[in-house]
Amino acid sequence: MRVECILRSCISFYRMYMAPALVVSFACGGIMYAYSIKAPAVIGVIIVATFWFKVATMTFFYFAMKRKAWKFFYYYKNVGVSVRWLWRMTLSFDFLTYVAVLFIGYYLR
Amino acid sequence: MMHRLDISNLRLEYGFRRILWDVSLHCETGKVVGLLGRNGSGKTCLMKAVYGELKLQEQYVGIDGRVLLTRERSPEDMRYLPQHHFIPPGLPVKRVFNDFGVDFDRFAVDFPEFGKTYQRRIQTFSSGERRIIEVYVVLASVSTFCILDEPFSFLMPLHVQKIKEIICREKVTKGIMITDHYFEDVIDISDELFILQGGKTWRVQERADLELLEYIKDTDGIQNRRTDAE
Repeated sequence: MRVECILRSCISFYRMYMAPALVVSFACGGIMYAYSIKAPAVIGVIIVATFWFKVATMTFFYFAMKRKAWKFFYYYKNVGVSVRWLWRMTLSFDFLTYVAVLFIGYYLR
Repeated sequence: MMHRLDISNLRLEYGFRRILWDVSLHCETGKVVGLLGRNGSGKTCLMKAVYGELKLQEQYVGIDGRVLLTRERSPEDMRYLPQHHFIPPGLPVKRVFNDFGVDFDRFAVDFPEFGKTYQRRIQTFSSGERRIIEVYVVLASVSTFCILDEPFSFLMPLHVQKIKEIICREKVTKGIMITDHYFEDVIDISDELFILQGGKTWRVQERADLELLEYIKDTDGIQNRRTDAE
């Protein structure tokens, strides 16, 4: 019951910023897909550029959510799920999605 | 089992403005502690500080002598109803009741008009209906103490009455701190009443104290004028 509640909280928390976060990840994957036949140096530049783009957007989502959706954080606190922990889990998952999409974009070509 | 919530030495200043100064309160199982105060007097700050949301310059909040230090409190120790809506609108009622561990059937007995809303999402309810669900899940879930910030906002008188009954029912197993501007209702259900003024809490023994502390003004006079007008 408790684990189920935590998992559900993670999912509903991530859903609050999932759409724009996935758009960013897929945009990075799309860029990788488009340029993956180029020289390794170009691939390196794409990885560095998209990495910082992803980090910047994740930081933006963090602060935007704190500003816009802070009211709903009380829900998670009241059901006993730490908001800090939720951030850690969902941001990690979001970053892993970005990495996975980047790999898919590279190997798909 | 009896539990005791001790709050003391709460101090909060914004620049040169003292919001809370040496505030001390206590609440225990079976008691409803009412807190009144003017707008901007620091009621919500006090509630947030007790819940651990607001870090103050000095504070002591403890249950049974055990200091509550962490920002994320165990929900079994304390639950907090903020003055705004706090349930994410996309969640279904079923999920909310499951997360709080509250029996929906009992809720449907208390509020029969909600009987067929188990699958509905929170965003489909009006503000008042959302407030009823929020107040109910916080009150009826298992916890040692409940902090209610303006639970009667958005509610019609019939529902206010019902919520008051639920508070009286739930206080048997928990301590409740409540603040609201519907002071008559707060007075009705409070075992102890305080008013927050000048950053300090003042115990209210009788209605005249509220006038003395300038929270209400010549209420009988207002009543008489209304009767005359009718």
